[in-house]
Amino acid sequence: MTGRLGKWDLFRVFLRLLFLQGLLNRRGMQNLGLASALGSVSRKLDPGDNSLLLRHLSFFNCNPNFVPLVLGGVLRLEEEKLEGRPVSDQDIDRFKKALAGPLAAMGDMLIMGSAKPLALTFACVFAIYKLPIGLLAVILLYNAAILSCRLWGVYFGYAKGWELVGALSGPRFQKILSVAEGASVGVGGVLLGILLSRFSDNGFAMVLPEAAVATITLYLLRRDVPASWVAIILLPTCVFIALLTG
Amino acid sequence: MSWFITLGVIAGLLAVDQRAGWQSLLAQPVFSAVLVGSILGEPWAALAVGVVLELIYLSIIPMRGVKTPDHIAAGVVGGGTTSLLLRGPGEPHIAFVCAVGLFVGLVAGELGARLALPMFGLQNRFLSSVEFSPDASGRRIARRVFLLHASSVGFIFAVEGLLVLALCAGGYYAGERFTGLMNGALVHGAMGWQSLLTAIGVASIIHLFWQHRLRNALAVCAVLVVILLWLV
Repeated sequence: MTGRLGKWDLFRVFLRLLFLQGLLNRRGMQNLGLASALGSVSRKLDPGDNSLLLRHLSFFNCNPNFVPLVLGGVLRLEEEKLEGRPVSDQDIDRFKKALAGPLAAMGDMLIMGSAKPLALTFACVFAIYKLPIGLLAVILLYNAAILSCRLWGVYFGYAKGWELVGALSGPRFQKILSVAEGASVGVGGVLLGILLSRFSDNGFAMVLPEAAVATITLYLLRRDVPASWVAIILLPTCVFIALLTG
Repeated sequence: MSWFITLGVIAGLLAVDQRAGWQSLLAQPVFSAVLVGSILGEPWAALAVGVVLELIYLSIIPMRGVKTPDHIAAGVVGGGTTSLLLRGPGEPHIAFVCAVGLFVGLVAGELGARLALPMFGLQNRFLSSVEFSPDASGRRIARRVFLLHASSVGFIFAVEGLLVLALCAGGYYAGERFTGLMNGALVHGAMGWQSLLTAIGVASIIHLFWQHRLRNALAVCAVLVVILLWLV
């Protein structure tokens, strides 16, 4: 670290950012969370006790896993401004807004759309085969990946500053996304196969009702009826049928 | 009562992770039910409940304002009720108790989401109304934001903890009543229901990957696994 902020300062920002979503609100979204994280280093970046935090209270929304990357860059720009380089408040605001949108979309696709379903599908496969060590491995690996991504984000963003925009554009993200998508679809297919092979476990007489329930549920899911409602309504139906058939 | 308080504390901690923290996946039913089951001494039954809840919830991705059931309440109440019922006196019918726990968990998930919504809405409204004077010093703002942050996390812990405490007590009471009514038709119906939940899991996975450009690969993988498992 060559600037005003040391490794420990950036680590404190990372720790505050872990609980970023705790201050999520409809008006400014993550603005208060961002200010809370900036507050941990504001003494060093705002020695005159001026308007640093006030300037960062405007609307901000991004994927929480990629916020450290943006904030790392913001810290570098604030530092450059303090050193007298030609960086204005508007430049920093534009930098934040320019990165937040694309990173929000990337984060949603990568984490919520691929990594999380991948981890949960793996967990279900291990749970079906009663392998607690597999469950433990899934949770450890997922958290190691998420936390290291966030920690790396703060340091990488801080190291790059303006160059962050250039570093993030390019085909690398598409490649990562393709690999994650492929893996999640592969594991999803494995889980689907395991569940389908269990259709005949309760005797072949149950295969037809199971296929019918799967088809009806899929139809309802396509019409935005949650699967949990289908499951809840199905129990009294089954008990009623059992009472009728004796 | 002490078990319900323990479950409430666990749920509060999981809520902090899920709503304020980095979403470590521990709040997902497949993990939270096992966690609760391990503490109560019935990890395998809780695992069976947790995995079915997870399969049902797999189709719901919490993105772009989608309303989701309360995963924490479902996992903790489902796993907790199952484990507590199995710890009760007599020789319990394990599969039937699991079905009861599963149903209680599903209902708790729906109820939890609806009951927590106004509370967290209130928190959201309060945080949205926070104003800072343009003359306020940076240190004062930093201190106020930090206090807001800490109290917000505490609020999340308290709301979810109390909610799950109440749902656990209600769920356990209802589960006890339900298992007390156990007769042939009820057991038969509950067992049939449990086997049909696999079908809902299948529909959930297909729905999850429905829009995916690689859905043909999903189908190929599934067919290969079915063939492999039949051969084995």
